[in-house]
Amino acid sequence: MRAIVLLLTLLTLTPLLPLAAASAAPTPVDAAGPDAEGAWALRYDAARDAPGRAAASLDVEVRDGGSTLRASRDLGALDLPAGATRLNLTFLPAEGPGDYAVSLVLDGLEGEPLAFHVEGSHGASAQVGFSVPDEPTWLNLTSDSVNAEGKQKSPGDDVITRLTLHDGNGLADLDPALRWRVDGPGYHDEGALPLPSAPSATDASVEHRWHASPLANATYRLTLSATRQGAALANATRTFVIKDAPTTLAPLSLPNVTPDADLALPVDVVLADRNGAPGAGTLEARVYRGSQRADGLNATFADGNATVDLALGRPRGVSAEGAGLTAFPLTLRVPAGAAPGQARLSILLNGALLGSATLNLSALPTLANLTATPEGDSLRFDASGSGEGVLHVELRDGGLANAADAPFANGSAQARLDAPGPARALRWNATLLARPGGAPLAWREGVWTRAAPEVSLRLLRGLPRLPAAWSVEAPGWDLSGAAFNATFTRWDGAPEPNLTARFDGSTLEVAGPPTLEPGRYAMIVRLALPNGTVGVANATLDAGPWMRVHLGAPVVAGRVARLDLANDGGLAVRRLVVETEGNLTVALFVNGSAVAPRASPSGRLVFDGLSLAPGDAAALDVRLPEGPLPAGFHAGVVRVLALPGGS
Amino acid sequence: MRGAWLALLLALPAAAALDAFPAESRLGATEARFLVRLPDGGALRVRADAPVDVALAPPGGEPEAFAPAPASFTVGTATAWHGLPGAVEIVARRADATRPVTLEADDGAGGVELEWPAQAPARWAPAPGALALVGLAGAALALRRM
Repeated sequence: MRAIVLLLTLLTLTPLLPLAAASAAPTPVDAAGPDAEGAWALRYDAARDAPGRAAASLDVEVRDGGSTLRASRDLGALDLPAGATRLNLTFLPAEGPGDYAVSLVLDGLEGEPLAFHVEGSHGASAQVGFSVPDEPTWLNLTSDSVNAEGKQKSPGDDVITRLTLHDGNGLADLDPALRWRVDGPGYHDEGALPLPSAPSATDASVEHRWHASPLANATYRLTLSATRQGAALANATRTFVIKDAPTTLAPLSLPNVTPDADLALPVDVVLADRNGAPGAGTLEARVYRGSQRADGLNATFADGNATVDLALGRPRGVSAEGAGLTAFPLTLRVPAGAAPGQARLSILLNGALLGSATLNLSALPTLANLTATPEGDSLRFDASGSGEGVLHVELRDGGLANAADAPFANGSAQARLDAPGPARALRWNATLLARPGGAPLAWREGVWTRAAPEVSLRLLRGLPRLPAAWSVEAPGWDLSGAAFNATFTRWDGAPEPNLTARFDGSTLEVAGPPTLEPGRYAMIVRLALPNGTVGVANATLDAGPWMRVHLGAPVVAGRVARLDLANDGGLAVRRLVVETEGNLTVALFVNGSAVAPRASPSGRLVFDGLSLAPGDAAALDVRLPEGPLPAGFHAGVVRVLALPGGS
Repeated sequence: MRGAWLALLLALPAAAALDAFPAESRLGATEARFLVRLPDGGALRVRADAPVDVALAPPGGEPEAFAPAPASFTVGTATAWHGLPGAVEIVARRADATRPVTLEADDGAGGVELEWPAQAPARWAPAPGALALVGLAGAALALRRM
C-alpha cells in the first residue's frame, strides 16, 4: 500500500521534478509535546534554491504494539523563500497512542521523520458527506426602457440590453460568460458576454451592448443564455427594429477641364447607405449651366442612359462610417470648344436631388508669339499668349530628339532643350496643348543652325616622309576635349588602312609604314567637340618613300654662306654632287664634321660614303676665295644632286 | 678693307625640289625609265656620263621625241602618278649596254643622280629547234657507223 502511495506521489510530482530537484528534502529538527491540547510542536528545516510555492504534507506512521497505522496531513501550499527556512508545525496525534514517525513532504520530497511517543490520548477520523440541491438559474430582463420590445434603432446605434442573473448555487457554477446571438432576415451574429468576476456570488447585473452597420432595415431578435458546460440553463430574449436609413451621395468632385477635344470624363458616382444598399428606385444624372440644362454636355450611366435602375449598381464595399457603398459609373461628355464657365452635374434619386459637383470649363489657350534663341548648346523657347496649357517643345537631329513639356501658365511658357546630336542644323518644333498629350492647338517650327568650329591644319614637319605632324587650329574653340577621327583615302579613292593618326588636343600626327606606296592621299579630320558641334578639316598629303633634298636659305657672314641641307624624303642619301657657278669653294658638314670631297672629271665636288637618313640634316659652307676681290656683290650658284640609297 | 666687305649672293634651289622615285625605276639593257617629279612643273635638264638618248614620257606612257643627252625638257603638272602632279618618266636609251651610265636630272637648282648599271651581253643559248637538229645529226652519225 505504501509503495502504491509513493508511486502515485512520484507520478503526481513528476512535472515538478526540475523545481524539486533544485531543492533539498526537508530535514527534521525536533518534536516537543504534548501541549495542553495534546498537540505536538514539530520543527523541520527546508532549503530551496529559489523562492516559490511548495505543496506540503506530513507522512505519518504510527506503531502500537504489533500494528502499524499510516496516515497523512495535507498542509496545503507553503510560500517558501530561497535558502533555509525553519518550519514550525503543530501536529495533533489523532491516530492515538503509539510511536510516531512523522515526515515532512515538500513538493514530493520526503525528509527523515521526527520520532516521538504519544501516550494518554487517543483520536479518531471519519468521512462525512452532504447533498446540496441544484437551485434553478434565472436570467431576467430588467424593466428598464432600454429593453423595450421592438425598440427602433439606426444602423450602427448601440442596442442596449440589461438583465439580472441569479443562481442559488453560486455563479461560479456557471460558464464564465453568457452566450448571445442576434438573428434577423438573412442575418446572424453571436458572441460571449463575460460575467462579472465574483465567483462566489449568487447574483449579477449584466449589460449587453451590441451594434452593427451596415444593417438592413428589419426586425432582429437578441437572445442571451446562461450556460453550464455549454448547455443553456436560462435564456432571456428581446427584439429590436433597424430603421430605414437615408441613401446619400458619396463626395463627388470633377476636374477642371479645357475642352481642346471631345472629352469623355469618367465620373465615379457612389451611393452610401447604412442599410447596406439603396432600396429600389432610379438614379438620374443631369448637367446644368446655372438653372438651365447645359447644351451639348451630357452625362450617361454605363448603359448609355441618363437614368439607371438602382439594382444595377456595383457593390463597392463598406465605408469607414459603416455605410454600404454602391457604384454607378457615369461618363460626362464635353464637346470640343465648349464655352468656358461653370457647369454642374446633379445626381437625383427617385427625382430628389442627392448631390451635385461643379465642373469648371477653361478657355482654350492661344499662342501669340514664340521665339527660339540659341544659348550655347541649348535652344531656349519663349512663348506668350493667353490661357493655361502646356508647351511641348522638340529639338531633332535626324533620329535623335530631345523633347520637354513646359507649363503654359497665364499665357506664358519658357523651355530649354539641349541639342540631341552633333548636327549643325537641327529642326525644332513648339506646340501648344491644353494638356499633356492633348490635341495640338497652335505650333511653330524652325531650324537652328549652330556655329561650328573652322578647323585648319598647318604642317609642322614631315612629308613626304612619315610621321608627319600638323598643328590643328580652330580659333575660338577649345579642342582639348574633342573626340578625334581621321580617315585616309588613296589617289584612286580606295581607303588606306596603313596610315594612322593620333591627336593630342593640338597636334595631329600621321604615321605610316616604310612600305607605304608613294602617292597623294586625302585626309579627312573630324573633331567632335563636347558641346556637340563637329569641326571638319580636309587635307591632302603627298607621302611615301621617295627622294627629296632641300637646301635652306643661305646665311652669309663675310665670305662664307652656310646653307642647311635637309633630307626631306623617305630615302637615305649616300652621295652628294655639288657644282657651283662662280669662283666658289664648298665644304660639307655632317653631324658637325667636314666630309672630304673628291673632284669629278667634270670639276664637280663629289661627297661619297654618306648616310644621310630621312629627316637628317647637313650643312654646306660656300666660300668666296681668299685674297683681294672687287668691291660689290658677287653672285654665285650652288647646285646639289643627290644619289639615293635605301630607304 | 675693301675685300673684307664683300657680299655673297647665291641663286638658291627652289623650295619644292625635284622628287625622285628610285624604287619605280625600270632598268633594261638598252632602255631605262626613271620616275621623277617636279611638283610645280618647270625645266628639267638631263645629263649623262655616256652617250644616251633621252626623252620624257608620262608615267607608264609612250616617250616623246628622243634627244641626245644633255637635253632640256619642260615638265607640266598635267601628268600625274599616284595622284602626284608633275610626275614624268625619263626614258633613256643606250647603244652599249656594257657601260654603266649615270644620269643627272635637275631642275636648274638641284636634283638627283640616277644610276643605270651595265648589263653583261646575253650569252648564246641554243634554241629548242637547234637542239633538235643536233640530236638528229647525232643520230645520223650513229647510223653511219653501224
